[in-house]
Amino acid sequence: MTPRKILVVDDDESTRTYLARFLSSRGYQVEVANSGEELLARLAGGYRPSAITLDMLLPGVDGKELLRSLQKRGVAIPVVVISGVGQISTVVEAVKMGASDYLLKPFDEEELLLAIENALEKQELRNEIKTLRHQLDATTTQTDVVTANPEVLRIKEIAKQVANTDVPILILGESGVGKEVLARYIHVHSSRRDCPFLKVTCAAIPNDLLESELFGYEQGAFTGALTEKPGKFELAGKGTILLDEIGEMSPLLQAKLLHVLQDGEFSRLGSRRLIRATCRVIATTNRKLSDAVARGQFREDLYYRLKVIPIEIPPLRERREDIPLLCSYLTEKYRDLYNSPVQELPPELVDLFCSYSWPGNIRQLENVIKRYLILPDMSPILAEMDDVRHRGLTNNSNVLLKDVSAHAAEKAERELVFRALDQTNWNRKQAAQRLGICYKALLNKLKKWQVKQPQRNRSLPESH
Amino acid sequence: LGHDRSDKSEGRSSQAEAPASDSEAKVAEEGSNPRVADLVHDIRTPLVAVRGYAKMLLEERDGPLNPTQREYVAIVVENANRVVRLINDLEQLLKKAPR
Repeated sequence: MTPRKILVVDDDESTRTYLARFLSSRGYQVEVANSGEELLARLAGGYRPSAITLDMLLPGVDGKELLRSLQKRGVAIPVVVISGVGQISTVVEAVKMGASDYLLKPFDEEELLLAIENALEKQELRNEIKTLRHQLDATTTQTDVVTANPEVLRIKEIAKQVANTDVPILILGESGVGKEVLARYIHVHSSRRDCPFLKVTCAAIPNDLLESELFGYEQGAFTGALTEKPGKFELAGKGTILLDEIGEMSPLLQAKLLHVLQDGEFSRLGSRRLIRATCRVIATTNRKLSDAVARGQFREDLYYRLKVIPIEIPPLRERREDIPLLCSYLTEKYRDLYNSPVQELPPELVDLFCSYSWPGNIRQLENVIKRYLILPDMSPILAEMDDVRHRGLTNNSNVLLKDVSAHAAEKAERELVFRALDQTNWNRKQAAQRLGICYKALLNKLKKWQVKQPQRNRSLPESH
Repeated sequence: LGHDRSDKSEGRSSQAEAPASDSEAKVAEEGSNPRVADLVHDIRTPLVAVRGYAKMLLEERDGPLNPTQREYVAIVVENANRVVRLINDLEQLLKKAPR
């Protein structure tokens, strides 16, 4: 186990030296600072002890000011105050300003050790909660790529091979194909899996804010920067940062990102102190970045930096064999969550899904399945898919007018037929009567549209 | 000065009682002479090293003590504890003194 680091801050040399020797004799790695200014300088230099013992009466920046400063900067290091001042008001003030404990000089050694251990334990619990939250996120978010498609299987293999390298990865593909899922798959297959996976959607944040979101800022770096804030590059630590929709990033930020990728360093806004970037960068986009480079909208040097390992995920329509697999996977994933009576999707619905073009890819399929699990009714899904097909027909300039009218008529017919079937609880004879057509004509229509009675209605024949 | 306090209780300050206001509390706690109060606080600091090192010697982490050395160091610790008790009592008296 790595020895815990304690920073002793006291202006009295004999106390400082004694504390350093005593705590070292108890297995801590101790460093000392003789003033508040030295403590602040060390923290600004990136030194992060596990805990601090702090004297209240210091020349220059005193204990109160230091506690206030640490609290303002959001520095999460436990502080045990050791002071000759025992006034209740000072103790209360120190605890209000974040001190973990307050000991009066001369303290009892056992009590000091207990105070430090309690403070460290509390901090470790906080860190553990953070880690568990990350792990919980990882288990509730999809981290496997469900596929039977040879091309996607090859991509999964590449992803596994590159997972443990540090090179940036560029994932391309239409919206909804599963770029983020693949990024998470890479993260969980890397040695970084226990560190955070942070996603930043570049298109969702204005560029000014994106810079501070990525790189953080110091207190007073700009109007409104009341406290310091670490950026995502800092928070990701040795984990993975996913820059989603990188194609939307401004040229200024592209330059800064290039610097991070080249030199592995960055600085917070309002600071000249360089911080090492230890996280892995994965970028995704649904834009053709090469076209953006040609148009001068995306930096060529950054494009090649990111393109060390480019992966392009094919759209769902080009891997239809995945649709039944995804249907089973997504049904299983959401049916308990939504307390759905549906155990599996009707085969005719899956068949229909397999023949559909899925312009919104897996995300669209996921949403349709969610809707069916919550409201197990096929008609709105069929209507929507038909509508998309119809839009596709009318958007095509080579289409014949008679095809458009036939399509529109069929759509209207389907709507009426499904409404009648719903109203009669799928009693086809009654539905045919309501529609004013013969029973056989109705059966022919249903056969043509490849529609069968949904499972739910079969099991509940006369429920309403 | 018969107010006896154990080592455990002398080091920790009660955090339960909040003062009515900072200035009132300061006067109430420091008593009539803040400079004497500061001096009392300053006496606490060297005691950390005196008592601390003596206790470390008694632990014999840096080598064994012979019985005489052990006896002498124990007396240092005992008397350091006595000074701590005296300071605590003095502080109590200062608080009670008329303003």
